[in-house]
Amino acid sequence: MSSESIVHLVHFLGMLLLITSLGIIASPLLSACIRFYAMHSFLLSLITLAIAYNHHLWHLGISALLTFLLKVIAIPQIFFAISRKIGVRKEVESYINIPSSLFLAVILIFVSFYVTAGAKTGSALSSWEFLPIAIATVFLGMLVMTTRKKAITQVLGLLLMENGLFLMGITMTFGMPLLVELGILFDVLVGIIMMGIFIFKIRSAFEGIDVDDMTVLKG
Amino acid sequence: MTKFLLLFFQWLLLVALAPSVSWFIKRMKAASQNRRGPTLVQVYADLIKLFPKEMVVSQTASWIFHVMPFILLASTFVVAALVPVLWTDSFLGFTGDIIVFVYLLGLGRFFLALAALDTGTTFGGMGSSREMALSSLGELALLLAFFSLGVYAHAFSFAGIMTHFAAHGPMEVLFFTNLAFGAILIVTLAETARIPVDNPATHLELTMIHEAMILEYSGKYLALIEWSHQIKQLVFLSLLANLFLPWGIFNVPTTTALGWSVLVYLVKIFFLAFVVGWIEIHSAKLRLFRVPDLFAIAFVLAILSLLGQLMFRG
Amino acid sequence: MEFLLFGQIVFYLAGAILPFILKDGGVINRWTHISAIAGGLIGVVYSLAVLVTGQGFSFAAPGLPFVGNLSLVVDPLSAFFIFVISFLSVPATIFAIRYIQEFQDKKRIAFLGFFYNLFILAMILVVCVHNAFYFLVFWEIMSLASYFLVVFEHEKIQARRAGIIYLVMTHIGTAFIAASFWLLAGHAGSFAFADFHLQAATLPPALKNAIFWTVLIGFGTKAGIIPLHIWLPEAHPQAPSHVSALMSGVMIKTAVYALIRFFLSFVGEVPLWWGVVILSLAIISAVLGILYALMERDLKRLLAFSSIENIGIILLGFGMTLIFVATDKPAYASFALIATLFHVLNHASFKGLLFLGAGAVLSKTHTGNAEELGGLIKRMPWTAVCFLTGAVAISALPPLNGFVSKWMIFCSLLSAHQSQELAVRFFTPILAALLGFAGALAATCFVKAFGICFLGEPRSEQARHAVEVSPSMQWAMGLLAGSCLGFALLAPWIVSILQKVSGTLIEADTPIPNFTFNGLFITLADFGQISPLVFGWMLSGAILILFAALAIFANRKVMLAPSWACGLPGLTARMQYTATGYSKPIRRIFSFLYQPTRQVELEDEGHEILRTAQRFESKTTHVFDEWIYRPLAKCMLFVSKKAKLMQTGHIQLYLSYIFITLIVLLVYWSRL
Repeated sequence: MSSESIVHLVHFLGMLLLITSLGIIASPLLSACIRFYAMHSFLLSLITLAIAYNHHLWHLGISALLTFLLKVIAIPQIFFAISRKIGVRKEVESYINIPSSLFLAVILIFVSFYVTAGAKTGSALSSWEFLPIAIATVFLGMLVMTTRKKAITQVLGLLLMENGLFLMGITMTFGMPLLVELGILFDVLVGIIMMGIFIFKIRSAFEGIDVDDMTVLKG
Repeated sequence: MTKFLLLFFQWLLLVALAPSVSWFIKRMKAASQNRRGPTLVQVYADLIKLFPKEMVVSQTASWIFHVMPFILLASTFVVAALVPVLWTDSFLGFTGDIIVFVYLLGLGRFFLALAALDTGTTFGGMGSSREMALSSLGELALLLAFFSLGVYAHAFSFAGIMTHFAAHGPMEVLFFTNLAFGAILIVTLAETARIPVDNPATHLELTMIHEAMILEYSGKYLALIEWSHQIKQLVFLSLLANLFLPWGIFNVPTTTALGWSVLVYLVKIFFLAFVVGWIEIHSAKLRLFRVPDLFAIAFVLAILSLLGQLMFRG
Repeated sequence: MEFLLFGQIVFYLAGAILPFILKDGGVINRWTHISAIAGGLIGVVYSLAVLVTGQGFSFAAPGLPFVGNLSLVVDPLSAFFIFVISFLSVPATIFAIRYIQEFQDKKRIAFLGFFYNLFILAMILVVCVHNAFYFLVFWEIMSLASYFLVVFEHEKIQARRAGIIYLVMTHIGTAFIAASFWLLAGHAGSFAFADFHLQAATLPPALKNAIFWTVLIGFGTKAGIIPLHIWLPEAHPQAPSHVSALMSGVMIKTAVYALIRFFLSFVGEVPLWWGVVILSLAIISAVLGILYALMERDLKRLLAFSSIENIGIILLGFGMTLIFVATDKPAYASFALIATLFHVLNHASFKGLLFLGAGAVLSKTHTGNAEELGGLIKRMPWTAVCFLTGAVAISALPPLNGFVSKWMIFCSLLSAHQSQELAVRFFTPILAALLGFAGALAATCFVKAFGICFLGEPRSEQARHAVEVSPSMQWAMGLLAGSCLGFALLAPWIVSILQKVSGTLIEADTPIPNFTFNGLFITLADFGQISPLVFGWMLSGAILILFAALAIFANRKVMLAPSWACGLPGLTARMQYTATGYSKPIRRIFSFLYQPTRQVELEDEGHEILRTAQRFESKTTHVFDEWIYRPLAKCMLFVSKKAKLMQTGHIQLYLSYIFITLIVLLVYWSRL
């Protein structure tokens, strides 16, 4: 495949990335959210692979593989296992309804494009378009974290933010040193496991993981 | 003269092919339910058998009831003449663009909704009110998606957009237009009364929209309405096929080119019909007040498509 | 041709004075209205002459010393608006003759004739006077005459209340208009419009912006732009229907005329943000106007809100004109201005028609509430056909005139895709999509209006006993219905005339790229062409062919039977959808805007299980009334109450006010 068509492919995948993050916001079912997250991470690993192939940076290939194993397979399975064990309700509960959150998401995407408009002229990289997409992903992760009631979906938002930062690292600097990448991924894995443990503990202590109930924890 | 004949042939193909798309989707759904489904002849026979039947007309109905099927089918015929099928040009291509397309369909819908109220039944009012409310939302997303395509192609007529897309490579077209494709696909599902918006095979009060409006119709009027509905479905699929997969459109009027383009067109149409059928099989009908959420998604896709045109093309 | 203008003025003055000379109610009714019809016909004739030939005329009468001459100038723009006013006034007045008959016994027919003629005369003079002072005089006469027409049925409390709101709002507007004229006159040194135009290029920016805001608020109040619209849905329904037709059809357009004059003649260079502000206000008015119209059950209130929507559409065209002028694309600005003017004409024709239809229904059923109507299509067939034509036209469906002007406004919005400004390129397609949304909602609204009122079974005794209106009223409505079709078929010719009008305001050196109009088509390349004539032929051709084919090949037998009632003994009229129920889906989807409240009261007389009565009340909040104007009014009343403390009644206190003021002034002067 020519370099030109790989660039087009990567752009196409970037658009799909935005769509899947919107999919996390637009889904009323928890299982759909988790699947969209898996899809998001899959696209991310594909983009990493494409950039690795194009620029002959093989440590990125290892990154891609690790991302795939961890974020596309392991973490969603952990999520599914937790949601089965806890018996959390299938629907995602949030403070604002779906059309309003979609509307906010669109505004956040505008903001991220507006904010990075100056970077277009300054950068010599052909993949400058990923900066706004990455920032948009971070914003959307923040949106998910702040508008959802259940702890499990808040962690999903956090992971989405992490995905966005990973994307930024990949496309802006063509990957951080492998050691740093490994460290981050390990952190994420440990964080998820700890989240799982805490959610069990929270549930057994408070009989529910609705963060609304936790608002009574004040002075 | 040959051009006129070719364009007329294009229109005729559209109008005659319409019921077979419904047949295809019905066969798909039947296969998924372990049934056999109707044969191709059956679908055409279902339409033709209605003509010799006597009609039962409500006593409350006025001339609007009688006039509506004609206006609906006539406006659908004109819309079918507007849409490029085998060629970038169409019979009425010289006098149409996106807005004309949407508003001609609106003319048919206006009288359909009126005729539903004409019979004085609750079903009619219900179907009419739901249809007009939902189609307003759908029109917003549809117009914005089309306008984003127009901004990309610097032309707002179907012929112009098609020519522009046909001149660019597949990857580039798909990248920029997949969002608009998603938006228009969602609106197509709504306009053709498919699950998840409406169930075309039910007569239960809770789930009808389109069927509720034509509940009182029988005989030849019903045949006209059903046919126009099928033509509208094929028109939308043709637009999706020709705008987003603009290959195989013939430029040179030779018979081989014509045959080839007919074949490609059929492949594209039935592929899209397969997609629609697949969505129908795998979705459940949405609660009525969840349908605006679906339109919100379509609207967001359309806005992102517009944003994409401007951001990436400068 | 000045004598034609004088003739028109004379006829209206005669129509105003005649009621006080003649004695009998019937005679007054007939002659005052015939005088108005004559005036209207003369107006149509000479304004068409000016438009077709492109040659205006002017006349200056000596006026007051400081203020300047009373100069009346009929240039193509004024002639166009005079045409719209005169054209609508003819059928409205023909309609009025029979419509007013039910009021004839009362003595007020004299005042009705007086104010009616004065109202139309004032509107005509407003659009052709070229002196700021006299403009304000005629503007005020127009507002006052319409006020008296609004409170015509002053025994009804809603009419009085509507009159007060109208009076207050229109005077707030007049104050701002006066301020803007004051600013302009201060700069130009005189009150004449010609001097304003001459001094336009030298206006300092700060003054220009001040003029922009005062003009926008002042004339926006009269036009009914949201948020200055609250008087429109109150006042227009209370007036007699033919007056409502004129108020909605032409009075609010005089504000559009003024906006065009100000921004294209008096201020020279136009900054881009003016167009942006007008576009924002326009799209808000368009969408919110029709959303509120959907919630109304009263026919005339529904039509009033729909006028707000159409003013939004007109201003969308005008906003694009300003944007193209600001970005130096005079050809496209001209196109947008043509679209705006065309929609002004079309709206006058179909809104007038709809109000006359509503008036016909009102006169025969004595109720304008859709919940009490129904089945009128069989009892008032011609009214139904005319109202349907108006409904199809206002929903902008081909092949009628609403579609043509709306298409042109779409085109003017979308032609901005070549602009340099990114924001303009991004937002104009979104605005165009929202315009389409407003249009689809308008179609919903008018399916509801026509369907609930005219179709189905009658919901009340009054509706059941309705009969068709008298022939003169039918003729009036038929004339307007014919004009809806006529303006569509003659669209290319009308556009060519409007191009001459816009040519006087915008200097377009080059013609609009690829914009042509010959006998059949209006073409804007890139877009496409439309030809209402071709659509009309195709649609009617297809219908005829189908009809013939069915007549030959299909079974012609028809059996009449009651509507399907799911096996129940029979459908009653109450089982039909109500107007409120029809808009329920929209109310739920947009509940964040409507803030609906619901109240249910149950009575059970102590049984606890059996309910004897149940009362349900559902309201939608009009946010502008509730959250802006009501607190504002309360605030003002509070302040006035506090200020009342100054008025104690003691003479000594008043004298002391005077003395203190004298002392303060002396001290101040002595220090200078």
